Amino acid sequence: MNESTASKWVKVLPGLLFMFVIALLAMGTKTLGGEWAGLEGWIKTNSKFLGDVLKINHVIIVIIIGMVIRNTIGIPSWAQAGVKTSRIFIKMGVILLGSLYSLAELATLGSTSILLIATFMFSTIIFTMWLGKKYNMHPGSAACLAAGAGVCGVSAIVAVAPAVKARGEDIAYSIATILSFGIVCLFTFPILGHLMGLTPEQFGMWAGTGILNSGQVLAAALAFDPGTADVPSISLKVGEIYNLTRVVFLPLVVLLITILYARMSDDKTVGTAASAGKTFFSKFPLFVLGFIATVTLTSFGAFGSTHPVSPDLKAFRDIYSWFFSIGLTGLGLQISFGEMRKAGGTPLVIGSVAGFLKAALSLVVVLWLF
Amino acid sequence: DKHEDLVAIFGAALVMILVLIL
Repeated sequence: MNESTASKWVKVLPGLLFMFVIALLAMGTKTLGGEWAGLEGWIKTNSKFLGDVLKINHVIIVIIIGMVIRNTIGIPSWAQAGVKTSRIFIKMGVILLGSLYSLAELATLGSTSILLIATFMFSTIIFTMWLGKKYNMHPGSAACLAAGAGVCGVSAIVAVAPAVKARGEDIAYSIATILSFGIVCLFTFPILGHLMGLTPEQFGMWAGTGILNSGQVLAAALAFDPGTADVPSISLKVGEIYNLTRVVFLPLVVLLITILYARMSDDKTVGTAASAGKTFFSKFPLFVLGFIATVTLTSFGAFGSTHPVSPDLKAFRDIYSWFFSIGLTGLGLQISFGEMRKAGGTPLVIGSVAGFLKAALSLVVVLWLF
Repeated sequence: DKHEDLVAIFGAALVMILVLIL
């Protein structure tokens, strides 16, 4: 390891510890062999409304603590590098989460999710692009918004932006719109899900289809049903398959949007077969292969018995719940109200209409079919 | 993103190996 790589990792440590301490405050020490139930336990014993009605758990607590810190004192400068590792923790958590599935389950869940996600994703994209054209939005801006509303929020916008020659302000507007809408979903979906009496499977499907951002799907699914090492969260297990399906679709979406943009803007230099092929391979999410490898290894018994669950598999569950808590602390720390205020005007209206329709229609479909 | 994914895969593999040997 050369010095610059080593110093990069040393720079990351303080921020990592910062996120770990926030997660520890919320989760307590029970999964570490201690007795303290953390802020989650304190809320459950002291507020019937917050604990039993709104079902506030450590996931919502870490996000709120992160948001409060970010928007009051800001992320301390010594912690900034470490906070940027939060996405790595979420991805590592997802790879370990693969130990919950068998290959047969993955095939069953995957086939339903591909149908639902593809239907909602492509119709949302076409609807958003059409609405954008109708209200004279800049084609690049409409394309960014369609990517964000259709696939998985921010990463889709960033992936599509260079292909449609989006301007910096288009990207900022779209990200602000999608994140603002997603934050509303993140807090309202779990409450609505409990009020409507959705089963964890139904909630996982609804959150996985209706929420626009991968991190927020993960957070909502865990907020609905945090699960334990003995009884893993079903809403997470279902929702995350939908999440991964969308992420895998991302290269296809970049392709579709580039073609729609080329038609909308009469730009002949984009949407060619060569650039499309290059885009497809450069956008494929590698970490999903790690997830599939874990599912395969688990199915072949590499980590011991799945019924009853081996101690190794139980350890994985405790570890991924910590990884998710640390990653979602980072998600909260990256929510800046100042950035969100950049959303406004036509993009906010169109993005919200598309997002709301997708959330409402996916709920109807989930209740009707499952 | 590819670098981030590779670090995540490497990190998760390391965690699995540690759990298996400890």
